[in-house]
Amino acid sequence: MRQRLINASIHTGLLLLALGFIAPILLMVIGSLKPDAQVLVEAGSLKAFFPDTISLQNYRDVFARVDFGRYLFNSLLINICIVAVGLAVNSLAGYAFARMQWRGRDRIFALVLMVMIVPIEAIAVPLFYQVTLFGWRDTYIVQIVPFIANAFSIYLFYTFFLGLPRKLEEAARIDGAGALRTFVAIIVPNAKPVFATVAILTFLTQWGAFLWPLMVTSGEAVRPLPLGIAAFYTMPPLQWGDIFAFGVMMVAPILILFFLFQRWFVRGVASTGVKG
Amino acid sequence: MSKVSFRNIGKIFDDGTRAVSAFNLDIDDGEFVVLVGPSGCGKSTLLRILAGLETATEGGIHIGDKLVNEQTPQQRNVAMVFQNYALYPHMTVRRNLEFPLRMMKLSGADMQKQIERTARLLGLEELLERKPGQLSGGQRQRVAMGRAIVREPSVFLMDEPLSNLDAKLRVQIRTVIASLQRRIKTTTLYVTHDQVEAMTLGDRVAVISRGHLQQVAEPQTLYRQPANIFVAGFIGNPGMNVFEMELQALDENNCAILWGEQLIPLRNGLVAGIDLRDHIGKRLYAGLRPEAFCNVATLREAAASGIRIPAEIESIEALGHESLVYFRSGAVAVDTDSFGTSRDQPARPCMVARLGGAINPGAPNLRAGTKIDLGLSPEQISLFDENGIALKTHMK
Repeated sequence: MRQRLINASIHTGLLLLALGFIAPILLMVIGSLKPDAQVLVEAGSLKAFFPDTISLQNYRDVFARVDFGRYLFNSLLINICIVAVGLAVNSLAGYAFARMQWRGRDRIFALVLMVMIVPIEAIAVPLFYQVTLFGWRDTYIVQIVPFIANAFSIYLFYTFFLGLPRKLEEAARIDGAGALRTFVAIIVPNAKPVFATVAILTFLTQWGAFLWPLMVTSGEAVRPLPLGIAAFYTMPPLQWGDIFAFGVMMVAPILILFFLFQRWFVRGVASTGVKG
Repeated sequence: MSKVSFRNIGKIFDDGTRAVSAFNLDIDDGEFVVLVGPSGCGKSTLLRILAGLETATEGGIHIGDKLVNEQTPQQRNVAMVFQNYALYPHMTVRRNLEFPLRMMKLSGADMQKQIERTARLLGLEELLERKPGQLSGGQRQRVAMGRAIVREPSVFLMDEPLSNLDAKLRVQIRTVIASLQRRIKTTTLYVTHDQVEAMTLGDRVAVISRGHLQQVAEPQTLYRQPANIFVAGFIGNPGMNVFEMELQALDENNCAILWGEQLIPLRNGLVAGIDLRDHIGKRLYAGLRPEAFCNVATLREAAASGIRIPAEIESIEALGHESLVYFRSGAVAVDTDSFGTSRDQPARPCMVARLGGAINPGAPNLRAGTKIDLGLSPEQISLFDENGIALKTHMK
C-alpha cells in the first residue's frame, strides 16, 4: 500500500513535469485556433488551454498576410540541399579519416574535432565578409554552402565506420572493387543508421536557422521560415494568433519527419553511441 | 591456375614489429599448401601479402611468372575466404556471388551461368535468395567459398576458414574443401593453426614459427622426420616428447644412453641409423612420439627387442580407443615451443605415452602413482643437435 502511494506520487510529479514542458507547445497549438483578441488576454489563466471557440481564421490570415508557400519552399530547398550534399561530403570525409592512410590524416582530424566547438555566431561576421566578396548575398547558395561540411557529422560518420568490420572492405578489394566502389556498394548500405541520424540531426539544426539567413538575405524571395515568422513582428497590427498559426505550420514538417523516421533515429543514435 | 613463389619475403609493420623474415616457398600449379603455426607466427600476414592486402617490406611475390608486389588484389586474380566469412550482410547470397563477377564486368547471362554452376558445386541452390543473416555458420562458410571460386581465380586463399565452426561441422566442411580443391584444381594456400586441418588437407604443409619457415614437406614426412625440435613438438597431438640425452662411452666400440639412473646400451652405438659414437660429449636431444612407447606388461615381444624404461604414472587420460599416459622417468623433457629462444625454458618433467586400447585405466595396477615399465625401440628415436636441428637432415 505504501509502495503504491510512493509510486503514485512519483508518477504524478513526473506527469506535472512533462506537462510543464509540453505546455508552451500546447499553448501555441491552442492559441493558433483561437480568435486573435483572446490570445493575449487569456494567456495568464488556465483559460488559455480551453478555448471557447475554435476557428482556422488565423491560418487563413497567415496565408493572406505573408507568402507562406514561398518561405516553406525556401526552407525545404535549403535544408534538403544541405542534408543531401552534406551526407555525401561528410560521410566521405568520415570514411577517409576512419579507414584511409594518408599523410597528415591525424592532424587534420584533430583540427576537425576542434572546429566542432566553434559556434556559427563566432565566425558569422568574417563569413559574412567572405560571402559578400563572392557576391553570394541574397541567394540560396549562401544559405547552403557554409553548412555542408559539418565537423560533428564527420565525427559521427567516423566513429560508425571505425566500428564496421574491416574484413568487409578487404573482401570487396579482393573481389576487385576500388575505394569509391567499396564505399558506395558495401559501406553505405551497411551504414544506414548513421546516415539517418546525421540527416535528421542536420535537418533539425538547420530548420531553425535564424541569425545567418537574417544577415545575408534581405528579401522574401530566398528567406526561410524562421525569418517569415519574424516578419510578423514588424507588420502592425501584432497578431499573436497569426504568429502561433505560423509556428504550428513551421514545426509540423519536423514532427512528421521525426515520426516517419523515429525507428531509424533511435536506432541510429543508439548504434553510433555503441560503436563510438 | 598458376604457381606461386615467395622469394625472401620479409615484413616489418609500421610499429617496428617484424612479422616475417626471409620466407621462401614455391607452390606448384594446382597444389594445396597449408601454412600452419601457432597464433602470431606470421602465417596470416604471409597470406595477406600474397592477397595484396599487405605489402612485403622485403622480397618478391610471384604468381605465374609475374612479379606481383605492385599489383592490386584484382590484378593478381586471387580470391580469399576469410575467417569470419566477410559476406556482404546487405546482399542476398546470389548478389554476394555476383559481386566479384560484376567487378569483372561480365555480361548478365555469363554471370548467371557462373553463379548457377558455383551454387550447384557447393549445394547453395536453395539459399540463393537468402541473406547471410538467415544462414547457419556452415552455410555461410559455403557461400564464402562460393564467392571465392565463382570467378575462377588463379590462386585460392583461405584464412582459417573453419575456426568459427563447431567441431562436427569443421570435419564436414573440411571434406567439402578437400573434394572441392581436387575437382577445381586451383592452386590453394590455406592458413590454419589447427594441425589436423593441416595434415588432412595439404599436399604439403609449411610449418612457421616466429616469422620463419621451419619445414615444408608432405604431412607424413613432417610427422616422421621433423626438421627441428619446434616441428617435432608442434606436429602431432600430443607432440613429440623431446628430452636432453646424455651419452656415455662404454668402451671403444660401444656407448649407452643414460636415462635417469639407468644405462641403456646401444648395439654398435647406432640409433635410427646414426652412429652416436661421433657425438659423445656433445649435447644432443632425443625425440619420441607418444605412440613409440608400449606397455611392457602387455606386449612381451616389444620388450624383448627394445629398450625398457621405468616410469611412474602421473595421470591418465582415457579416450576410449586409446589412453594418454603422462609419466615421469629419469629424463627431463624440453619445452618444444620455447626451444632456441631467449625465453626461459620451463622444464616439463612429464612425458606422454599413447597406449592402445589394451590398457584399462580402471585397472588397479594402472593409475596415478603406479610404476610400470615402458618399452620402446631405438629405431623410433629422432635425434636433434644442440641447436635443435634434426641430425639426419643436418648430416645430409
